[in-house]
Amino acid sequence: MKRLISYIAASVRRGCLTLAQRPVFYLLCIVAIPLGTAAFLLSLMDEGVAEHVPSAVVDLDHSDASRSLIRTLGSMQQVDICYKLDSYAEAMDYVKQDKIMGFFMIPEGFGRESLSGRHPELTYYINFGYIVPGSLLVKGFTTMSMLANGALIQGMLQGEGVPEIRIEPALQPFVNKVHLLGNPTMNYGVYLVNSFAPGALALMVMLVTCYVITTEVKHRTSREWIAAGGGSIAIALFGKLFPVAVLFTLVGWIMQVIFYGIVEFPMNGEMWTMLLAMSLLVIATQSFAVVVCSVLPNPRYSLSVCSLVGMLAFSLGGYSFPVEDMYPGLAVFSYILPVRYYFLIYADQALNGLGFVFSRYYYAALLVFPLVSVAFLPRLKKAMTKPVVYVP
Amino acid sequence: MKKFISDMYRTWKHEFGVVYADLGVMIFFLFLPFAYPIVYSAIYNPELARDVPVVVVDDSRTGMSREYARHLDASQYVEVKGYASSMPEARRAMAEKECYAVVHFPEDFSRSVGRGETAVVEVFCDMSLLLRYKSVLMAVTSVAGEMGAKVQAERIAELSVMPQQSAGMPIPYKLEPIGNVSQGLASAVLPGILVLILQQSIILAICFLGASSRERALRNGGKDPLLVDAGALSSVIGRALCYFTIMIVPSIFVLHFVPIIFSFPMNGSVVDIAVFFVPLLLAVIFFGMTIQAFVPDRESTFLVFVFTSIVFIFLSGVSWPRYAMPELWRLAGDCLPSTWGVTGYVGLNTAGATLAQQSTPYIMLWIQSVVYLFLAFILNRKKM
Repeated sequence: MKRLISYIAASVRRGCLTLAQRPVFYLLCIVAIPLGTAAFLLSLMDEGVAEHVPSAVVDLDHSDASRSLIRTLGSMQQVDICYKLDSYAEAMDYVKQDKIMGFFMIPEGFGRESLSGRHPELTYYINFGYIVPGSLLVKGFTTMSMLANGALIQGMLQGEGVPEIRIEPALQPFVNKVHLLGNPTMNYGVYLVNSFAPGALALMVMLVTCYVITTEVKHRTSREWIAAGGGSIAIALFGKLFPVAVLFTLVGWIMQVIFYGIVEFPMNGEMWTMLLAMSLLVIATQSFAVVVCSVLPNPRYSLSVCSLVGMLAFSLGGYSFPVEDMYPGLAVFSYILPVRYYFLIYADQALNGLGFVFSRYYYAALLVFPLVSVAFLPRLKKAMTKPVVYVP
Repeated sequence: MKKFISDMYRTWKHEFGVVYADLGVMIFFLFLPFAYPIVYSAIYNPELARDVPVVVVDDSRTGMSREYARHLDASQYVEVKGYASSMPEARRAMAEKECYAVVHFPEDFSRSVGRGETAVVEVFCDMSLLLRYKSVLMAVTSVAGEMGAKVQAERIAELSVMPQQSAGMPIPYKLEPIGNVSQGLASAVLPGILVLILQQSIILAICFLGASSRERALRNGGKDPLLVDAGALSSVIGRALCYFTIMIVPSIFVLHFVPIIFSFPMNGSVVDIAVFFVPLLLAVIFFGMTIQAFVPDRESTFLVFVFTSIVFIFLSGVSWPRYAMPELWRLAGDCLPSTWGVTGYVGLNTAGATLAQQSTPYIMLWIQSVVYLFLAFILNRKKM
């Protein structure tokens, strides 16, 4: 027993020493990159909504009605009417030069005061090469078109002496009152940073874990490493991964305190559920890296695989495109990514405040990763005691 | 001058050997640009969140509310998964992920319509994924519009002595999407990601080559035995041209054939895009050769470089538009080949702009090519 403890202590000491030998490098990878990415994303999207989309209006009517419409359009928060242009061709040219993201065209004859007869069509052209500003423009321009219709009908009815109180509902028989659960302002930062920053952390956990293990192969010290653990791969690995896990968990918690405590992202549940999720994310991701290293004990190959998987996780994790809409052949792979479960927990706990019990399976799934990695330890040990010669 | 050209030619030729002998580099130069775009495009290729499951709570229980729900179900965006007897029950279904939105018809829903008032439909939507929210919103908005237009026409006819108008809005309006006609996520985001994949594979490969050369030099008393004896400038240009030559075929595949395979918008002129890609590749290669000078060893490259893909993709403006960024980040983005590459490629390929209309990115990439060539030259001179 005493011996066991001394092996563990020796292994952990060795693990810490590895980190201490290149302090700048490891601080960069463990602390600066994850927190830096989070800070970058937070400051990039600090406005939350990308309003005031640069756009233009083409007025072919030059009437009082069209000028009034342009004024209303100018006061909408979604759009920023930068230019008043004279033709479709000119406006299209501006779009293609990326000066504007779209434009609103008021046709000739728009100001005709009549409910009967065909009115010329209002058309809005939107560059959907960029989805966020494109969607905002749709919202702004559609609302504008409906307002224009409302104003026209209202004017006509008022002219006939119909009481105000009956006009309003006549214009809008149905209203959808949409409640945006958890993110009422539709803050893009809340949506994106909550998934991408932990994703970046997971990427670094994977790479650093892989690096600290396979660097023993590169420097041909893997036997010493196993020996320090008294010949036990479990102890040796624990000594190596424990200091890394502690640091990453602390960094992850700092990230969460920044999110939910300082910039006040929605936290509708209990904080401990997220802190727990973060520590499990770190452990599960480390386990994933251990499996990769066991299968490919060469530093280059395993780091390549970890990089590729870590980057794909941002898409396959299903936090921008829903997993249920992916091709089933690809969707299955999202289930082997620890970040996917972290993201589901985040949605349940922080965003929707559902309570721990609704996420129990996701927590359990994160615990499966270390269990699976245990099965690969004998293979890792074999690779480490008879190392393949490192080919530079 | 003659020596300069012959030096350049010798480095160009020699570098092929160095690249082909290095499996790791070959993976990033050749395998990655072929495999990654396919996987990425395939993930997003379904474009939209279709048939998002929705649960209906109908406290109105009238023909009108049932018709509303039927219309919702018929939309491609949502699917009415079932009815719940109360809001708590529906919220529970949502918590269990059986649905991502709840549509609630209040008791007075149909009565309001009958009385000529505005009837309210309450929609509760999960916000974890914006794409699902967008689908739910599209579905409820279009149903409210569709059913509303009919009622509106009737009411106006009742109230007004004006001649009867046809159902629908008196002033018709329509949206004309430019470039990305399907308005899908993949068609918008993927062209940008393709440019980024290309840039990142090239930079990683170049960094590996630099690190390997440094490791060889360390073992060989300070000089890399595989280095051609040539002037610093000719050596930098010669190597860059070698990488350029290697990347021609992968670039054509990524930027021309991947969009064909996944039917992304392709509205541009092939010639313009090809011309645009000369400075893009050069800027990326020289940018890579500049970074190369700071890479300590091959393995560390992964750790300090891979995450930049996230930073670079956001700086390019594919996701969060550049006009909404703080000044500092816009400036940082200006310095990266990917930013201009993405802007130009999306403009040319998706919006169908001409090279003249996308002259800013084109010129910026030439400027970057020259600046990064200069930096690469300065940083490489020490090694000689």
